[in-house]
Amino acid sequence: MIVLLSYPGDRIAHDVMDWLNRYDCTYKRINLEEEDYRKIEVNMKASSQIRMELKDGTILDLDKVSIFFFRGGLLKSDVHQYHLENVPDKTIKTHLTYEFNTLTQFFYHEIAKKCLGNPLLHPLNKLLQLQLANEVGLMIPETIIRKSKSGLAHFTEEGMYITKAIQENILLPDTPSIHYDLKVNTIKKSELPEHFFPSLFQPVLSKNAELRIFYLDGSFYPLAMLLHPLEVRATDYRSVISKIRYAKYKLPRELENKLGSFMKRIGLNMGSIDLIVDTSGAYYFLEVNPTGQIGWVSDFGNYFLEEKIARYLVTKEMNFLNYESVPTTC
Amino acid sequence: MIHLYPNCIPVMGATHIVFYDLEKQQFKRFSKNELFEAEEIKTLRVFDPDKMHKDGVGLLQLHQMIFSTAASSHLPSIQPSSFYKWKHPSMITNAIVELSQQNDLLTRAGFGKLLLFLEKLLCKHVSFRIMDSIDAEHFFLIVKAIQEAAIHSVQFILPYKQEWDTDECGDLIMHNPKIKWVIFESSPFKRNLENKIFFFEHPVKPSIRKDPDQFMVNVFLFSESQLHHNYFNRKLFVGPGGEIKNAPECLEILGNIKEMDCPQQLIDLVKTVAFQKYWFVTKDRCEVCKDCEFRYMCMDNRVPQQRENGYWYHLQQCNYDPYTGSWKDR
Repeated sequence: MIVLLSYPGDRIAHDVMDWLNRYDCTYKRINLEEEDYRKIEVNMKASSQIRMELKDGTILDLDKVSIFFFRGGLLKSDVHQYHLENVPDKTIKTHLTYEFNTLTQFFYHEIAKKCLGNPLLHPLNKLLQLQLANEVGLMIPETIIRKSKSGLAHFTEEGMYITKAIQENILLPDTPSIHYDLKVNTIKKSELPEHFFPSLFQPVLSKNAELRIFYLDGSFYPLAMLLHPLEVRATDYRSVISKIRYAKYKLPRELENKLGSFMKRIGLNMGSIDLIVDTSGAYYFLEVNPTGQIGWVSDFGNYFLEEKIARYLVTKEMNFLNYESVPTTC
Repeated sequence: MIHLYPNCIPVMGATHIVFYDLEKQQFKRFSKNELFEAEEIKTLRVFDPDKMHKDGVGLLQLHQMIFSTAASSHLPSIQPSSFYKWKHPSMITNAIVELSQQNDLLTRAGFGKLLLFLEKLLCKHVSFRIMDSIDAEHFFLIVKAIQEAAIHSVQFILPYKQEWDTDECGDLIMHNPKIKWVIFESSPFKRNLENKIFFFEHPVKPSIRKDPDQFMVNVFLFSESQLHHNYFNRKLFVGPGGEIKNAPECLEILGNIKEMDCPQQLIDLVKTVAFQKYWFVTKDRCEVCKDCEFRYMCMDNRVPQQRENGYWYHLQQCNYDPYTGSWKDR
């Protein structure tokens, strides 16, 4: 059986399920956020057997799953509700948090052994990504993290620099943006306060295009995002999304090799990679999102990515069933 | 050199060229004279941006459809668009179903059977026409059943009754995201409520008249139109007697839903050559349509007739003449 681990409203999981239905394939969709981590059962002797009773009463037996497809949604902790007489709540909370993390990380580890996507890498440290990208030979924007204006001594006062969240943006309520509120922004050193929370800075690259590349088990599906020359070269494409032009793109073989090495090193067989192409034609790695939205890459590139994902899952299921059908006594 | 953005696709007609902007989901129409010199037009078979006169280039620049190689000298890897394949998991993408006492589809069992059949066909978009007078409670039950089904969107046409003109009914429709619109026909008055509830004074009748204001441009329709007749492809009609046809306009009755007990029977019917007779009749193989610049956005409900040479034609004339570039009734 194929198991899709995704949150409600995830279009990709939904479209993949349509293809699985078309292929008459057995699958189950689970939102781990709604499941109870306390129903995980582990039996270890010669081998590990991991099962989990789901809220619909069925049993998820990891041995019977051919392949998982991970799109997001993790088990939630509820340790705050436990109390013990004579033991401080803080101690209980710390202890149970360790217990929760150990159990659920092991659960994800077993899922990750046969998974498209990786629940262990959710979220995926962005600084680690940049470091690994550098190590495999990908160019990255110069990146510094500082907590004070004095730490940016080499910045010019009126020069423009990019600042963005180190890891993840937040969505503030009651903002006009439908995507993010704290996207990538440019800022002058002169506008900075003296001290601030550790923040990430990068130089502004002279951009020709941004690339969003969907990677699926060794194959690349790139889409370029071009801004018309008459438009301001936006720092963050998400702020001018209605003015973007899209085009299929052919990556240089050398770049594909490096990106493939990067994905192997970081432990991902699927993800959306963001690159910048500057005006000299150089490629800069920005980040990889293991669970990003790819519907528009699929549509504007006419890649049919959802079908490709479904085919990948079905192939794994067929291989699993064939193996299971071999008599153990032969 | 001048390049069109890959997702701005020119479609040549006899006298005009329409640029299908697949990203902005709009189109721009120009006469050939606006873009090319008269001498050039005589031999023009394929759109060549380098053969445009200066004003033509200016016009396309104004509409942000082109970029020059100089501006993109570091982007040799942009690929041409390739919307010439189309795939969809649904065996039937859209259905028109007339619900009546005669075809048993207004009964709870009959409607439930219909929803099951549509689910197995992976049909997500349905237009229902309620042929007989039903009360509000019956309508609410139909809407409730649809809410619990896998259908994504529905449209309703039903005879006007005074009991429909209530806040309760209005709220049910307005707040239901699956209901795209409802038309109450043969109403004593004409009314439009937020483009979702319509009261028409006359019965709704099909028409072969085209209106460019109703044309849609998007990747899905454009790519489907390259390989299929977009009006007949993957469509299903169930008539008031239960008769099954590809579309309401088709003469051939291919089966009857009253004689079907299980979804597989309908699936088997949909897979027949007879049912798919018009699915692959592209506008490029239809006389007159092949010279029309709107051919990949027009949803033409005229049933094509086949000639011996394999080309197709229509018995009724379209209200647009691509050879003069004029509309009959505008």
